Amino acid sequence: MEKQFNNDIININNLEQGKTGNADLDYAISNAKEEPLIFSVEEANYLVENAMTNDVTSSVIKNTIIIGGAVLLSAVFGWMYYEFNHEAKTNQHINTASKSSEHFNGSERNRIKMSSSTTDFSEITTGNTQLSESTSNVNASEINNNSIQQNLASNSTAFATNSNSNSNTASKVLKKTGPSSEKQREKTSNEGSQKPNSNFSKTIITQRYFDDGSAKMSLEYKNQSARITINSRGIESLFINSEEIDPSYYYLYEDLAAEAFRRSKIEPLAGPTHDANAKPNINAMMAGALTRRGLIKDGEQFNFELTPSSAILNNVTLKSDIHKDLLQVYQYAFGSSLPRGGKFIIGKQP
Amino acid sequence: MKLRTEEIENERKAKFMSLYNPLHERLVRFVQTIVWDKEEARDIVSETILAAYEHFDKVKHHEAFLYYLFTIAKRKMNRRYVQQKRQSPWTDELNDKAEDTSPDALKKLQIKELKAAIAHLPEKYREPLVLFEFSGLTIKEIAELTSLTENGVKSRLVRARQQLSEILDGTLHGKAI
Repeated sequence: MEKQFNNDIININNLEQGKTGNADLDYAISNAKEEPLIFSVEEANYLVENAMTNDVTSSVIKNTIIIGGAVLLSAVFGWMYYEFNHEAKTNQHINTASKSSEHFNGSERNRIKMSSSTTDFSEITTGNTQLSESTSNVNASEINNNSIQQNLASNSTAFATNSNSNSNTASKVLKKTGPSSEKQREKTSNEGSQKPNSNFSKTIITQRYFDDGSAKMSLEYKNQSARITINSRGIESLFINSEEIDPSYYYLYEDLAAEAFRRSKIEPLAGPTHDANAKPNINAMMAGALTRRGLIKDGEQFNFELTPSSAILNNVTLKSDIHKDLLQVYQYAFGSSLPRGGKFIIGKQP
Repeated sequence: MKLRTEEIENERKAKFMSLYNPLHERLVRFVQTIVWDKEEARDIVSETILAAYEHFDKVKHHEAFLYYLFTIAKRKMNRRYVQQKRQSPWTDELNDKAEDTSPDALKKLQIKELKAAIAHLPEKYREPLVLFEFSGLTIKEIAELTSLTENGVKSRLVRARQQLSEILDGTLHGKAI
């Protein structure tokens, strides 16, 4: 013991790297130090470069938001200016229109209305093409449906509310057109003889795990930034270049989803591109889990019974570790664990 | 305005890389010695670099960069360790796939055994050992990083070496010539 202690004192005062006092250990350590690095400096450089691009992009987005806000504010001030300064003028319009309506038929009346309202709004939205375009559309539809008085009185309100609805429509259109263009791009990339995983950069950007068993990660996919949130049921959300992808288009991103599941080591119970928010097909999930574990063949008919105490497949009791595993699959698929005394059965089709 | 932002970013990047490059090998050795799964180790390294770059402005003194970088890596690894507890059986499959049949398989087996032995060390011994033997940090640097005294680090290193020798005794394939 004393000898050991003395050795310690000696070692403590003469600690050198790679000289442990055990030749075999030193040899093993030197071998391990010769092992090639798993991550090169070039990759690190690329990663930082990429992060920089993202930051610049976000600052551009911020600038766009600021400019957009300024345009919106100017529109609101313009409207207020119009409201206070042209009140008399509006009244005059109403009077004129009312008088005219006594003399003209309905279609002529509509024409008067259109010209007056369009002129008014073109004053407000000078310098903003998008807004003026949407306004003229709104006015056109308003004009066709409402009376002169209603239209003139509610012009300004309609402008505010309908421009919002127009922007919503625009975003919906974008959402729909986005994946379709993706679809085309994927089609062309598949035509080429690319490697299976050439769509991804080697570096993962971020990866976060949550207590509910879901994982969120950002990765570079076909030179675009992809943000995906997954759980064992499938994809919770998917953004490509900050644009949310509709669940009906998830199937186009199978390689991306598969990569996300592989990296996060989450088992995709209902397939990688399944919409996690859709109603789950627990039977299919369980069948998939049994197939992946090599317990049944794909498409095979089987009898399966799962209880908190046992799992029986085709009258054979499965091992306890597989049983526990399948209970967990059930829990992920169903959202809660199998209750005591509960039984989950999948039977052969007649 | 965009040009100015890019200039600032380029400057920031150059500054970061000038501090990071000399530490690259040390960081990667630290991670790849402790984390077995290659993909996972790569993820940790990339996450560490990104997190370090993201909050780089918080580093007031350049001398502190080493501690800053390794502290992030340690946290990332600890978080992964917690995560691994609820991992699916896929991990084993991945490890099985990592089996290799190359000519220097014996050397690789030896490295594998060494890493396994290191994994069996208590965390308080494992970290100083890897930082000292594999990342090449000095005792003073390890003391700063682990909030220990220099003597504390030394005694942990000695005990870590002893325990490692005991674990590896008789199990190590291929001996020193």
